[in-house]
Amino acid sequence: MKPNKLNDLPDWIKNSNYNYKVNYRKSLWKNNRMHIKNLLSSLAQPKGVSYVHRRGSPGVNLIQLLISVLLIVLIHNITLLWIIYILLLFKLLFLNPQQLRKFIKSWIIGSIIASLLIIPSYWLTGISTVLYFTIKTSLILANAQYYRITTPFQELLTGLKALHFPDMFIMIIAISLTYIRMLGQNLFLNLEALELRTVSKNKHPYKLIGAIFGALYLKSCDYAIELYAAMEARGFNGHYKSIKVKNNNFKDFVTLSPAIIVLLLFVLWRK
Amino acid sequence: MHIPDNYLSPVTCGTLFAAVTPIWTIAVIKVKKQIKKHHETLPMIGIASSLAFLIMMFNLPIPGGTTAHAVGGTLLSILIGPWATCLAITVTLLLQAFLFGDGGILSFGVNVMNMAVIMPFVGYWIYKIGKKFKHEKLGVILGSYIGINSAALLAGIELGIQPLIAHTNNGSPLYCPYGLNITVPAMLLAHLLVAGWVEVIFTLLVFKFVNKVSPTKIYDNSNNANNIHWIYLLIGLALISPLGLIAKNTAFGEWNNQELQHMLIKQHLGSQVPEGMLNGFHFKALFSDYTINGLPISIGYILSAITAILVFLLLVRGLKHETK
Repeated sequence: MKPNKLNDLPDWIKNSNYNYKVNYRKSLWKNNRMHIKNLLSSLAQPKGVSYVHRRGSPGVNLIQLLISVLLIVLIHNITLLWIIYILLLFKLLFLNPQQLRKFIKSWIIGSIIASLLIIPSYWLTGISTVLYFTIKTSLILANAQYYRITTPFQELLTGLKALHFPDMFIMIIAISLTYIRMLGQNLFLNLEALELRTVSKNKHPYKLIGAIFGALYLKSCDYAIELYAAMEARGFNGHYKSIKVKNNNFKDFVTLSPAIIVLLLFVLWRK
Repeated sequence: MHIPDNYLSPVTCGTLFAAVTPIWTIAVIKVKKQIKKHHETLPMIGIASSLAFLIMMFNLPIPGGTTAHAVGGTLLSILIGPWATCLAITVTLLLQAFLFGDGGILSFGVNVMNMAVIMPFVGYWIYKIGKKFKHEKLGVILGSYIGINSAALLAGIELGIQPLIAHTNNGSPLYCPYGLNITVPAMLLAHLLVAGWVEVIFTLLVFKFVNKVSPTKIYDNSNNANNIHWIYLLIGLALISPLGLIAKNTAFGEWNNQELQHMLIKQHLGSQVPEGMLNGFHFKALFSDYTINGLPISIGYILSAITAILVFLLLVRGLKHETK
């Protein structure tokens, strides 16, 4: 569409200079608003998810993650840990560059935080505990992070269903995932409105927390009643059937085989 | 309070996962019962789980320039009931572990025990006691404070026992390297001084708002059926109180001076009873060792148990406010 005089906005509306003054307690609302904003953007799928084509079914991916984490926790042999690192690096090759950068950034931050917590133990138990702990924790974080960035939310539900997780839990998770976004949006707008309307010094800013979250809870109650009415209208009978569980095939076996090989090595290789 | 992976041994994680499984089962049964009365409970649990997620994301500034967040376990148990809260927070913890990297995957059962079982149930029971004595707000304050601190204490113990139960042959810890002398004070101090008060402020403010604006939206479980169960339980316990008489020996630490001397000699710890115990204060009770002259000892036990129950019931009744 070509811009014409009718489409042109007046200058005052294009001007983005805000003249209101920043309140002294604004940081409380502003910081939390930023947190919620980040959460909402991370929930905006499928933008944040990289689909790796050579992956197995959702159930197998979940089993692979559980086996990997369990093995890393159990293994106290540096060679086996190295093999797991190599397998992880091999898997990372299939991520696209943007996802890889995102992965490495959050992996490094997570590993640094984990090692900071454990460094004081150097004076209690020596260097070997610190090194082992850091290596293993960073490996667990990497596996969990890989699962997160390659798995859409729906796939997690399918995986849980494939592992015979109770229907009630799966339904609660599905509802929860949807409503985190809705309630988060609601909270974000409330915080933004509050921030814009707070022009004078508030002696008791914390009192507003009660009103914000109290209103959010009451909103949740209304949502629950509406949602149940919608569920009943669609013939809800207490079973969660919107997920189709795929049968495992050769691809699943290939996906799971590295973890099984390491598991066998762990069981058979005793020094 | 979210314990990540690799801090706890697989044995600890497995044991606590096994321990929370029956609690989940009971929660599902209880919630299904609740759903029959209030159909919207099922979607409400899912939405409450989202609410718990957002509560844990909301940071409050604390002295020292840092921030702390509430968990909302006690708040949700007051609003939607403890069993529904158990399921809601379980789902929140599962999403945090799998999708947001907060808390471990193997340690999921441990985190559920601390935050979805101990915290809401302890908090709710204390709130209920406060409500019974018409001190609802005091119940909310104490419930939320003691609830989060109980969970923190348990987390401290779980972490602190690791060097004792999982170590190499030369004594190097395989998982959390800090002992109970470090983990318990570290967890408790942080929660007693800071996080506990954040939880109290958050819980009380939201409770006050909901109670004022829409009091019917607060979970109400005031039925008399439970009281009848309690009476049966107390009568049953009173009747089986003489069970301890089957044991031949005196209970540990309850020896008299002669028995103590005999024990010391047997254990090669000396032959003299400590001076303070020989010359200390000796109280002669009316019915010493629950015995009443002329009656079999088991009857004495049962009568003592019934007397104690009646005394406590009278005490509770005396402390209650008048109902209008």
